Amino acid sequence: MTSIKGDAVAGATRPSLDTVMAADHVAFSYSSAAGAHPVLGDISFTIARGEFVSLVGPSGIGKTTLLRVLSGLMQPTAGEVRLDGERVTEPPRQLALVLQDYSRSLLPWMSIERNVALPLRSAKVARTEVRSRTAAALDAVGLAGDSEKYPWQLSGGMQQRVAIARALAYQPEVLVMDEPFASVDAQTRFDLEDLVLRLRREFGMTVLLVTHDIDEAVYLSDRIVVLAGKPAQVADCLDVPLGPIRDQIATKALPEYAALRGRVLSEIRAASAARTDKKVG
Amino acid sequence: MSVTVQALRGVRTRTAGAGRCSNLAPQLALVVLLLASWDLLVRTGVLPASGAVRLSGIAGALGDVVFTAALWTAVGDSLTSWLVGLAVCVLVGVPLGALLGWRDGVYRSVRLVLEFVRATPPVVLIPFVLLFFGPSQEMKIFLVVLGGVWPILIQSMYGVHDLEGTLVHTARAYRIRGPRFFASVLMPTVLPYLLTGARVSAVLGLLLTIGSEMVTSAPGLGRAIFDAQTSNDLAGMYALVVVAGVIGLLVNTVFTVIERKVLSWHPSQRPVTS
Ligand SMILES: Nc1ncnc2c1ncn2[C@@H]1O[C@H](COP(=O)(O)OP(=O)(O)OP(=O)(O)O)[C@@H](O)[C@H]1O
Ligand SMILES: [Mg+2]
Repeated sequence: MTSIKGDAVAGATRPSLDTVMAADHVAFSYSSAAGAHPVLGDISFTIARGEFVSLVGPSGIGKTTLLRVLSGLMQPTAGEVRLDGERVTEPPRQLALVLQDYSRSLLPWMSIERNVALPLRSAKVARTEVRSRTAAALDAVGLAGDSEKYPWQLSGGMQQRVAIARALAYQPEVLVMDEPFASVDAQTRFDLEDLVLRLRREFGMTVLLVTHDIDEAVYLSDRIVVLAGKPAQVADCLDVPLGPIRDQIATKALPEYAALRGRVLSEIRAASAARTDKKVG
Repeated sequence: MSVTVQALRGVRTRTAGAGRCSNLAPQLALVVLLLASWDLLVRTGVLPASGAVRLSGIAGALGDVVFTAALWTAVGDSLTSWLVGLAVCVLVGVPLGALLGWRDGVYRSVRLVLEFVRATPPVVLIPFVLLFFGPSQEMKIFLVVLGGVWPILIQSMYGVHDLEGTLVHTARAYRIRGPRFFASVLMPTVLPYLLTGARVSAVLGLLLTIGSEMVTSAPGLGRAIFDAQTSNDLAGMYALVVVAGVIGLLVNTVFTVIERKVLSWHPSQRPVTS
């Protein structure tokens, strides 16, 4: 199941489909005074247009690192990332990012509206269009009435919805999210998951989600990429054939859902166990 | 131990009592009470007449001195050297601090040294600058810079260092750069730190200015106070002390107003909700 250097795991790359994003033998090491610390080994996979892909793996495996490399915030030490066929060397215009730490990704000195509008103003979008796109995005996440408020006047879930609205208003081809729902309560989390599914259908976006929550990955995704090993590699790639419409209760009651969930869980367990063994041995 | 922490805490406490205007009356009452007790203590002879002057005397001297050119020349001399020194502190301290805070390695290596330098009381510099410049405006400016640059430099360094992480990643991911990054992300992050630093530098600078005038007889309000004391013009001395106090109060008020305006979003300035 572990990939051999060279070719990717079955199902990870699908050259026949309309590929939006491709990781091509991506490797990454953090360098420090103590030397290089390899985190990503040799990672290859592709994401098709309109697809919802989740990246899962045990904590500390390098999910956030991979996401930073994929979104152009850091350069891979080997291999390359491509977006719409072009090599990514800096954060591309077609990509929007939602980070886990919403409280620090919003600017506390700006109103909700100005937070959402800032990337657009920076991209020199016309004033009237900035206003309409901002209003539409805030409306889509159910915060139309709160546009004059400041981030610190909102609850955690609302702040995360602002971060999502900011990404929506940016009109990206690919929405990239790093554990976006990790620090909200369970009910808010379900609401935000359904919100993302609805927005993705409405806006036809491609979504790449990093999560450590297996339920979330199975519930949301069309495909799940499992990371394992040290340095991390793609251990497996699973299709999630649950259809485009999902429901928190009905979908999660399906036998296929339970089967998939079990499979991903055992793979992550195996991956964590392998890592601990290595450390001990 | 650290002026930074104290100063930041200062900002916080000030606004915690955010009911400002409502407690103006008790504050005024306290002032009146203190003045009345002073007068009573002088009149009854508890405070010796060799050092204390009655309120009426101080008020009279104040009325006289306010209309003299000598006072305003002295105030002008003090404020000029103070303001020029403070401007140099900002011009040197902010960019230098930003530079030091930008790189994590640099930040960690200079931190301890800077905290040590700052912990040294700057009045020890007076004999040193006197040797170089004599009792002049230049001496005072130099002293204000040497003593006052540290708080603002260190705050600027902390502010820029604080910028790391999520916010910078978000700004980069959304391609917010150049002047807009500076104005929308960098400045608002650093500004609370800078204002705290500037306030500490300003108060310290004023102290050094007036203090050095007293000990070196460089021209200014401090020297006028000293001269009044040596020529045994006690009422005049107290009047000048009042003028110095009012200047200090004005400086503090200006900073409070600026902070309240510029930092309305900041946790220290928010209305207390809980
Ligand atoms: N800036 C950094 N410098 C050096 N090492 C880092 C840095 N950031 C992360 N690492 C290391 O890289 C490895 C992967 O970290 P990363 O944050 O990518 O993991 P993760 O899979 O996102 O974990 P989690 O699920 O806990 O968020 C960890 O061993 C971590 O210590
Ligand atoms: Mg992470």
